[in-house]
Amino acid sequence: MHIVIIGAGQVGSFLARNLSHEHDIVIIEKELETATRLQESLDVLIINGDGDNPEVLKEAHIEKADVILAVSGDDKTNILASSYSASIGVPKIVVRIRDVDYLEYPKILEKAEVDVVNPGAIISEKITSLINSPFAWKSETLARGKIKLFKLKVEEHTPIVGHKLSDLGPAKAWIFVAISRDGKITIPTGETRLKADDYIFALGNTDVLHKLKQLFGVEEEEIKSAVIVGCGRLGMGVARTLSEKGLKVKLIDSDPGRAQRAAETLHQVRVFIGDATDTDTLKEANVDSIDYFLALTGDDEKNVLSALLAKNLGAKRTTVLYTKPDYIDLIEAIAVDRAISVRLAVANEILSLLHIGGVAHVALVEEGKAEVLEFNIDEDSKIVGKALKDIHFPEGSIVGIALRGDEIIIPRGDYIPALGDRVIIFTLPEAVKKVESKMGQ
Amino acid sequence: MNIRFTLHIIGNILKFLGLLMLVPAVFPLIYHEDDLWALIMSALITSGFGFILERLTKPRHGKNEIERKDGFLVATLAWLGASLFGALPYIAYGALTNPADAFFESVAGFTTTGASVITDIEALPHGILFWRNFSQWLGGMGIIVLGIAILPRLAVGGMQLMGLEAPGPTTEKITPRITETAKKLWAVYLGISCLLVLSLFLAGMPLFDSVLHSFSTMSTGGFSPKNISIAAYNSASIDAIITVFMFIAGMNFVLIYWFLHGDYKRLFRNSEFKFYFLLNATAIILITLELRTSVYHDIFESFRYVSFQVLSISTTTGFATENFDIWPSFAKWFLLLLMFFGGCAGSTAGGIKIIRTMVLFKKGHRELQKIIYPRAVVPIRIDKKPISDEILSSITSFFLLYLFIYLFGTLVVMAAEDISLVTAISACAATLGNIGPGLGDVGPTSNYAHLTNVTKVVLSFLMMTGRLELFTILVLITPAFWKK
Repeated sequence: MHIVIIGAGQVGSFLARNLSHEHDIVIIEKELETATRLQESLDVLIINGDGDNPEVLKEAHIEKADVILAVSGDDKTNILASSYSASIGVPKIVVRIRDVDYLEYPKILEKAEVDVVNPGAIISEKITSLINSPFAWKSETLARGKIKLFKLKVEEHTPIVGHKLSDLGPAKAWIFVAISRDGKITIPTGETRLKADDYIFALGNTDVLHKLKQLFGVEEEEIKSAVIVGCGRLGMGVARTLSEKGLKVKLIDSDPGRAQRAAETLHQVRVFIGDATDTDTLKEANVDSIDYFLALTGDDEKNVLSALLAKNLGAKRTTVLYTKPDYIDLIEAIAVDRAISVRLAVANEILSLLHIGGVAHVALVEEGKAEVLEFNIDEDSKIVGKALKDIHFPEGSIVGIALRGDEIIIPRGDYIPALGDRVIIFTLPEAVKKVESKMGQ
Repeated sequence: MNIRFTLHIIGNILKFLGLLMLVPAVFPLIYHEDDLWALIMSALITSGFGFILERLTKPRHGKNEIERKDGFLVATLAWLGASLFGALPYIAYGALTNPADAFFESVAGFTTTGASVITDIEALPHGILFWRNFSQWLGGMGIIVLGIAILPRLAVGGMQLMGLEAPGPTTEKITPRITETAKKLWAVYLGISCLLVLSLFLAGMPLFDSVLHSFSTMSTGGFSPKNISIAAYNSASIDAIITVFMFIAGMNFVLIYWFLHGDYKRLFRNSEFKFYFLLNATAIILITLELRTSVYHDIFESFRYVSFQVLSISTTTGFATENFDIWPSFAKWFLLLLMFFGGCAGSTAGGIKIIRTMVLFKKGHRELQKIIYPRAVVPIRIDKKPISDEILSSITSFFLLYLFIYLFGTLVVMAAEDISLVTAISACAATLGNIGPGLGDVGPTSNYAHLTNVTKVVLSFLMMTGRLELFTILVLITPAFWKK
């Protein structure tokens, strides 16, 4: 497929990297230096120019494009580029819009299929789901909301430490698809023993989490109070949602103007002006007795440092937002509880919107160290009518869950894929191609 | 640095090069000549070495990507390897007994220089002659570009590799995928080469000679299976055909690709192409006027030989057809100047390249403007697009380095050899610019056989450095490159 990506920022280049193995990618990027650097590391065509300039779009052969991903940092560029693409009939357009005030524009383009991705809404939803069930380190929603992928941590005191996976009994509702140990993801077998500090990935339906809690022996305390750093659009949005749920919310921002505005808009929230990497500010906001500390500024370093300070002062749980992919291993190593990658969240949302040739790359896990693929079983699929144990899936991949109508099946060796099933496969990047050829895509 | 994987790729390329050596092995069978074993042996050694190297350096799990730094090593080693193993057929057959000679001939082949050390070319069998010109054709579009088209594993980082090999300050892609781009460029190259074979054959050249001359024309190499080169056919139509195709070979192949796909505007709007056309037209007219009837019978005959010779030199092909050494000084020095300009970026030609010359002219113009209007902002534009400071400085330093290497090379050659100044400076210009024949003792009627081994190695180095556009090789002799 011919995919045109507008903007080679964090999200754009990440998508390009993950899609370029299978698709022809053209990127339009206005910064010459970014364009040159990317040209050397990726096998894609990069055009240096403005994404909203029709001449540049023509140069990218947009008329031949199957998909346009307008994900540049500028909303207006994205909107203009997508409206031009829609006017010449590009079949699939995804446009990223940061500012909620602009969300209406794509609706004007009735003709084409335009999907709008709003990073604020995505992140905000992720944070609320984390706060609702702090037990899960991460959760991804798959198969149009029917299935969830959870990342759980095996704490030292949990009863399952040292057990083999097969000892945990044949689960009816979930399947452990991967283990992340020392930053490396592997696909476990029944013989794999769990160690303390492992992270384990489980696939299951949406309410499987409480069963997993029992398995892990976790009693989950309710979150009653939260401190949020950053009065930006995102911080404000999350603060509003949380305070509407009845939490006691405090906001911190170093910019007096922004803090003032936040205080005026949000009545239930107490707003502090100050530097969140400053102990005094944090103490004043009573961070020491808080249930949840959220660092949601646009500055990675500030987020991580303030979360560390808060943790040190006694905050029970901390979550930081980060953009730079290089930080993920660091953040987890220094005991900040949860990290939410903006670009991964946005990229995953976009990937899940692209159903390409029956395969959806529904989610990238841990900055692309693993992938979740979703297949529709149709007439062309090579695996129809064969029992799973006879199919021999490539190394580095595991069939996670199958959906038959609304029924969720945890596939065993005797599972026989039938027409109309949807199969969710967890795979390491090196096995993606093999899985696809196995599935007959 | 990932030296292991770098060697793995080189092994891969050599394996393939060995297979290509089997192509000329059909000629001993057709013409019943005695070079069959020489070619098969060379092919076996090359492929065998490549195969073993590839096996020994099988990449460890997950380490199969080359870094930016490795790219320089891949490009240099690929060219060095091709030149070394490409010399085997000459030695195995006994056409050249001195290894330095064989290496020189092979480098002159792959780098499309066309400087020869073989005195009696016509005495060689068809197979060896074919390999000699075939190596030019392979080197013309480039070994790396060929590798990218054939080896999918070169895709990531391929753009950088292609940039190291493809002539010109910047490289363009035609398609999102580098392998597709490489395949398309090779297809255009192959297509035009076939057209040239057909044209030459119809103009009365024997088929075998047509193929060989097509190889050396399209690659701007200049090797010929005849001792007196194209002059052997003494045909105005053959001269005209080759003149036109030399001009095409000096053009940017990306533009030719778009032209063939109906996008004519790109070519005619391209200022490098316009400059290239005007420069050659001016040179032809001025030299024709200078010669008038002093060397040839009438002005038309002068025009025929001058236009052939001007394009032969300016596109760095270097067919040693006419003895331009007997032309008047103005003409000779004009030709020497053209050696430096070279062809367009993205062509198979050597030299400094038109685009760089244009940018330098414009930079000179800007400096003058700056003296008159010290506060003025004067951007340098090519095709209405401003040239970034980074590219500008890389072009300036390219030019300076080119001059330094050229002067240094001349100095070394004169120290090693008792030759005239004209011979030394033209030999270095002709090898660094990948042209071939120079003036004086290395002029069109003579060749490089009489030089000492030291000079041959120095000139081989110049050819290779010129073909890979200086930086690729020079960066390898920088100590910082090897530091961890």
